[in-house]
Amino acid sequence: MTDKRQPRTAALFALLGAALVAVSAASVLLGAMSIPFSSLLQLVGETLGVMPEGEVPSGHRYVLVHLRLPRTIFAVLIGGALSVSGAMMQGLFRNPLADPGLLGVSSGAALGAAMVIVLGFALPVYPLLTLPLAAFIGGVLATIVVMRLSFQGGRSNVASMLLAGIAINAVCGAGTGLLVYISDDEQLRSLTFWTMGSVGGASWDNLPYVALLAFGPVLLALPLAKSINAMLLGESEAHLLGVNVERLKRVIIFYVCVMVGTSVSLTGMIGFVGLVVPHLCRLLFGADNRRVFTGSLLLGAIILLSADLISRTVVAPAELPIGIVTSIVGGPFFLSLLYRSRRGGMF
Amino acid sequence: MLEAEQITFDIGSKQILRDVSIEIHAGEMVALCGPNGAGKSTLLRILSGEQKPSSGTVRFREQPLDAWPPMQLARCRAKLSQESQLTFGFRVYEVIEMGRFPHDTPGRDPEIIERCMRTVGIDALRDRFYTSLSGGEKQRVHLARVMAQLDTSDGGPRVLFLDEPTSALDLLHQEVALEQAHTLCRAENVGSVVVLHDLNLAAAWADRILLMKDGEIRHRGAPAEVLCTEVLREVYEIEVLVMRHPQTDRPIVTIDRNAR
Amino acid sequence: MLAAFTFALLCTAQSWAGSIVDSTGATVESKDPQRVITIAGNVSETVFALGLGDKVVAVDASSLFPAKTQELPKVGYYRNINAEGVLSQSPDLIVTTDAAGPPEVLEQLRGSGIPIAVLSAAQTMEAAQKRITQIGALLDRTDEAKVLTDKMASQLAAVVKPETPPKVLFIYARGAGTLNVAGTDTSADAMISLAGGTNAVTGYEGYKPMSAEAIIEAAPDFLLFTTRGLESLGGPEGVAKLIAIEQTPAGKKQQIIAVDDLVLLGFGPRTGEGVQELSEKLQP
Repeated sequence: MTDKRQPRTAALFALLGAALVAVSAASVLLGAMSIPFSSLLQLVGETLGVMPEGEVPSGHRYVLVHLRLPRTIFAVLIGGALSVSGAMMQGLFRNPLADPGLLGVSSGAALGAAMVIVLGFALPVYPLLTLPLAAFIGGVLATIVVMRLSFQGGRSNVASMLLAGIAINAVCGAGTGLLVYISDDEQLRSLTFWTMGSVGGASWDNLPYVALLAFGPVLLALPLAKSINAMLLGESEAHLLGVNVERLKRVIIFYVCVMVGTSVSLTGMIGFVGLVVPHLCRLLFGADNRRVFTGSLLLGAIILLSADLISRTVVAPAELPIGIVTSIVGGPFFLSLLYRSRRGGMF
Repeated sequence: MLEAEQITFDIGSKQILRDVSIEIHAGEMVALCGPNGAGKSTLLRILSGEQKPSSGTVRFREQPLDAWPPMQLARCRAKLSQESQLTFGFRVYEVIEMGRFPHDTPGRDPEIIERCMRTVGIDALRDRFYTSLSGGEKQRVHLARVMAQLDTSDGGPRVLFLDEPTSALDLLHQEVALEQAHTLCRAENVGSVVVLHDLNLAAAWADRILLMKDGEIRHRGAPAEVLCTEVLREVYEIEVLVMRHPQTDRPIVTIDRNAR
Repeated sequence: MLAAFTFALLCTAQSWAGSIVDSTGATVESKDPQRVITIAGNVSETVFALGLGDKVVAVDASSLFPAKTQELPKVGYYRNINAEGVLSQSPDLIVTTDAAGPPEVLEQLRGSGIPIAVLSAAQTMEAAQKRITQIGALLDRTDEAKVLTDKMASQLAAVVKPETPPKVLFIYARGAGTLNVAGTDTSADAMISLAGGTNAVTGYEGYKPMSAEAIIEAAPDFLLFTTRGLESLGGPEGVAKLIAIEQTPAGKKQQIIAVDDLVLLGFGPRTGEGVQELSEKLQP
């Protein structure tokens, strides 16, 4: 980090941190149900033990504690995980247009989800877990196939990984298409909604999984940023700098697979975030992954949280799929940034 | 310091290197010359540990390259490759900072990086985007990066590989690049192997020249011994004239126009 | 003043409670519900048919009948509801079917403690009648519900079926680009057999796009549409222009018929009427 630009970078991080706190607060405060600030204050006071048990309508209490709070945390964790996994993929493929979809994890998960939605099987004891589990397994299996196809004699080839990913996406897409074909109207609608994503399934029950499997790898990945920087010079160069390239590639793929597999299985497909947030961070902070990763973590959380806030308030009491919001709001914003930075020599 | 013994390298049935043995001493600069396809770059890749040989061993400080922990090796062995795949918009400073990756010396890094930038004359490019630089500027950035990589406080034996470091440089910067590499060898006791196409540059800077052809080292020795018309005719299949530099008395090679 | 107080007290004392076992096996108890949210077209239609439309505070996007539902807040399409949106309407009873989702949201709604009845979404006459009976039990309209189901039964009994069952092809259309044909195990298939016809398509389940060749092969005597579907194709004239249609007996005899979307496919309280209307249109 150059000393000249350090103050600016620090200020930007502080700004992002403040924005995350502000958007989180808004996410808890706003929603389809209008809940007065006093209810929230009373609840917080009670929880902290500084206020006696008071009057909070039970509806308010339920919405705040069991719907909005877990949903807010959920969106923060998923937003961070999707963005950082995008940044990792872009490092792995040395291509700013790479996204986690290249590993086949999203399309594999979609196939798993489609099987549950259309064929309608359910786990006997935990029917609610059937879809997330099938989606997760689908995503992981697809990634394993991609890995198998691109590893030869203990070494992987990023170019053949790309091709294998494209092929697996096509195969999974065809499988999903077949299921769409045999689905009835309602299953089709469910499937369509699933592919547009939602964080509405957040609950205190699934938050631990998200924290552990989707967000845990984010924290483990942050120290890898320097090695991934070296990878951007080329695999040989990274090797010459002392990076264990094969190991690093496997670790990246493993993390991304688990992070994105978990996210997709619980939220459906939320496109755009993993591709664009690291891009935005590069515009803000430069290409150094140490800043891009941390920035993506914060900005991804902010963007997904904001998108969710919009998705559940603009058409309240109904809800707009979050994937639509991220694309409608984020797309033009991103285009304008690209346009303005074109002359900056960044791309 | 660095010894390669009976190195062979095959791709399928094609022999790229056959039975190559060389030794590099601390503080010397060795030029690797020869026609296209002679195996120079492959040999450099094997000496640097990027590529495993089909048979034979490379030892660095008495230890086979395989046995070195990668990080430790990276602190005393660096290589400037012909081209870099870097397409992301890093600042010049940040690219050179990557050279410090194997070292855990955050306190000393800024000073080392600034010094390396000054040495190759790119301190004015410090905050420019790498992607906006010309080919020659990029090459100098990477030269500064590998110099930063080899900067250790213990001053132990180190080796530097340069694969055509001057290919994209103008006359002044060719001179600057080789001069800096040479200074590094002499002042810091670093051994270096440089692949060079320009025999005159090799003659001017190298302590020894290895002339390769068809995967073998055909001739080796001081520039004055190796650079003579008979040897060059055999290796390059062209008639040359060899003169002496009026100031240094080192050989100067040029094409014999009458023979063509 | 005192009288009013006494009256209020009396009302509270006589506060009524209903209970059913819904399709998930859960016992659902409703206590004199005043703010009901109905999430499914046929459920909404039933509550209005029982005369309790003024207690409905919100519906889902598939609840289109009666027209009054259009003035109510919409909580989204029934496969994609959101918990807070539903709760923000402060319901004291939620009635939906097991076709609603996503399941996590149903779970969240159950967690709120507000009674939620998940009825069977099956598309048969019996299921339709059971839905009406259960809704009646939840809303203290048992007798009115019985009137409705009895009426459906008598309408069904009064249906004069065509002597030889004609082959009927149901086309679910949203413009000429999307023509899905009903196979077996669809609401259209059920209605066709109730009205005395046979489904011209028996090779698959659900709604599928069908090739022109297969439509000719199926040789339907009638082409059945929903009213809106037929409109989207430009009426019977538009249909006649579609490829392959003129090669079918239905096309040759211009036997292109339509029944209102929700009456035909909704399996709500108007199902009896729908069967009657369809059987009349199927007479040669």
